[in-house]
Amino acid sequence: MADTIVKIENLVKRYKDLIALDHLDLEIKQGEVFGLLGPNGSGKSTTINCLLSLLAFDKGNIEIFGKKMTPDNYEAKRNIGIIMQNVAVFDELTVIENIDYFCGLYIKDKEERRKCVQDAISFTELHDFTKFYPKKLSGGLLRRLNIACGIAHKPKLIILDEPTVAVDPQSRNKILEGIQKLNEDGATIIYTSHYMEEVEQICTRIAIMDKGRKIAEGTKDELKKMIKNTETVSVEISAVPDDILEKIGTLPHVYSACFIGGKLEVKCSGGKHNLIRILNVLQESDLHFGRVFSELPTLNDVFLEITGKALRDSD
Amino acid sequence: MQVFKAFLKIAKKNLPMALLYVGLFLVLLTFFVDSNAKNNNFEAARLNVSVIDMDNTAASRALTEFIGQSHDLVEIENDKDEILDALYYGKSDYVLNIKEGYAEKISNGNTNGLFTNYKVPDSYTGVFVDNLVNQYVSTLSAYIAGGNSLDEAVTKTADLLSEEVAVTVHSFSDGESDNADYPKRMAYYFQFMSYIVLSVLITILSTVILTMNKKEVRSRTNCSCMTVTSQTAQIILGSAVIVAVIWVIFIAAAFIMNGGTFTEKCLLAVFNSFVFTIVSAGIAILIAALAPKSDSISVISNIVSLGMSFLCGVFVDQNLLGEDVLSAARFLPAYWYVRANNMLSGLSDEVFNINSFMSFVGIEAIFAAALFAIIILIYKAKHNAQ
Repeated sequence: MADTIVKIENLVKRYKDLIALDHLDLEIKQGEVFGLLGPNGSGKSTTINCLLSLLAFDKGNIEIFGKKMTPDNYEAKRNIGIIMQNVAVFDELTVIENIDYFCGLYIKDKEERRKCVQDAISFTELHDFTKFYPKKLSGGLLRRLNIACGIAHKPKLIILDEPTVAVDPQSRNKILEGIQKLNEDGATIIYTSHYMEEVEQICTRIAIMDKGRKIAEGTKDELKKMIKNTETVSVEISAVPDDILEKIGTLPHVYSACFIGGKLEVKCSGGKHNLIRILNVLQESDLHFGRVFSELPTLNDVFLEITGKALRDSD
Repeated sequence: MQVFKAFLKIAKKNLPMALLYVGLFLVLLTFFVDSNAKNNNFEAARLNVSVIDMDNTAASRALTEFIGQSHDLVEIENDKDEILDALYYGKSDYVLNIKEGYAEKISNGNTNGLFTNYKVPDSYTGVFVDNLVNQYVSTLSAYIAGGNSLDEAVTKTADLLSEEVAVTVHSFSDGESDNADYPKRMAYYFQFMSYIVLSVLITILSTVILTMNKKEVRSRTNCSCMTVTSQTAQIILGSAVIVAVIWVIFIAAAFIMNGGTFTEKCLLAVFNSFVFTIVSAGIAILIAALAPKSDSISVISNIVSLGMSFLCGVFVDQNLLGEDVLSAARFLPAYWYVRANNMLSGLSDEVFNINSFMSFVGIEAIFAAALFAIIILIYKAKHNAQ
């Protein structure tokens, strides 16, 4: 069994009357890419700040690498890399100076540091921009610089707090591939985001947060199994008579059928061949239809079913 | 020394602006000192005045002669168009027409309707000559009323009004300060140095500290394995180096300006400037602790440095400031700096006394201590708020 890298027990953080973290428990194992998913204000960043001792908390306990995390636990800090939501670099220093500065906070030996800086530049593919000042970089390059500054000292635990906010799709993919590469190289990753697609793509285990509480935890498959919905069939169609809609609703495994805005949407819970049965009913009724979609549940469906609201509502 | 090196690199980025301040200061100071050294004599303005004497008596000619002593007399014909042209084209600033019967009227004590005049409406030249003529007529009338004959009165009036009053222009940059111990040039230099040191330190130090304390960067630094004590020590060291370099640049410039030597009083001024530089550093760090953004630093720098300099008598002699202003200024360190400098140079009424001088510098040091205590409290409060 893998070692526990991070252990959070009964964590409570209050801002006056607002409870930002409500008795939160988390355990992150070595080698995991652990996703913290939740809408804005759900407590993801507060959790990270408490984890890093940047924020004092009211109750609970945090252990990293088996030792209690405190502001002066420099041994633990030596092995942590942090990539903040906002780009944390100096505008007055060049790309290479920035990476060297943040790497130098961990590594004093010049030769070792030079190698680490070069590795970070290679990893983030910033070779052509080493003499550039941050203000001259595009949004995607800036994010890559932010990552390079956080990983240059080769940490064992890397915390990424929404690193893809306001990044174009191409750069986003590059960043996600990089994170997977870091994980393959042995780093444990904590990844916070409110983009469920990203979390689904890279995380091996996910905790969904809302209002400071952990509302679900598991692998993406485990999470999806927690909900009733297993398949959603959507059919583009001009009209569906009420009796046909009623007939579809009585099909095996169907628990919801509705027609909204030129689209028939049928939700199924378990079973096989749901799509074929629905299309058969439509054909027998001589109804012509357009495109047909069969979608597996997403984490948004999980969030929707557990909380009654969509993840993106809070964006 | 990672933080220290980054501190200096960021400071270097702000160097051009600071050098611009220093360069402009030194150039302007040189001009200012020279111009003030030359411009402490008073000389009344001379105008072009035309007198048309319709009375043509000894008394009226005496008046013309009197006006001619203070102003340049310009001949003009008694023609209205020519008079107006002369005024319009600036050939003459004032045209006085002494009416016929002037001598007779004035010997009878009647001063009404003696003259008509042409002048540019609401001009200072008009008021200037009016006053001169009124002064003459009043004095002449007074002598006549006192029992003198017209001839006697004219002579006595001419004698009295020819006496010149010595006028001395006083300014903070004047005085008997031009002594070998502490030359006037040095007095000006150290006086204005308080303004420029404060400006430059706020511009550089506050900006660099704000950059180092930028929330995201600070968070990332705090997450590292470098101890908070080490980070703070390196920032203090970086600040000390910047403060020392700036102070040394100004003192080196003063040394060169003073011909490569410092007398005992100059050294006291150097000591005074050193303590004030530490106070300025305290103000700059305090601003960095309170300022919301580095964009606002230049505005704050101007408000604080100019405001304090005007209130405390850097630009205007403390003797010329109101009592209320001075009462308020006592709560500002620049007041004590200027007062100590004035005492050294003799620009104020205070006779130089080493104990008084040291007490003024001591008050500056107390300001510095208070500022640093407040800074520590602010940073502790910020830390506890987290």
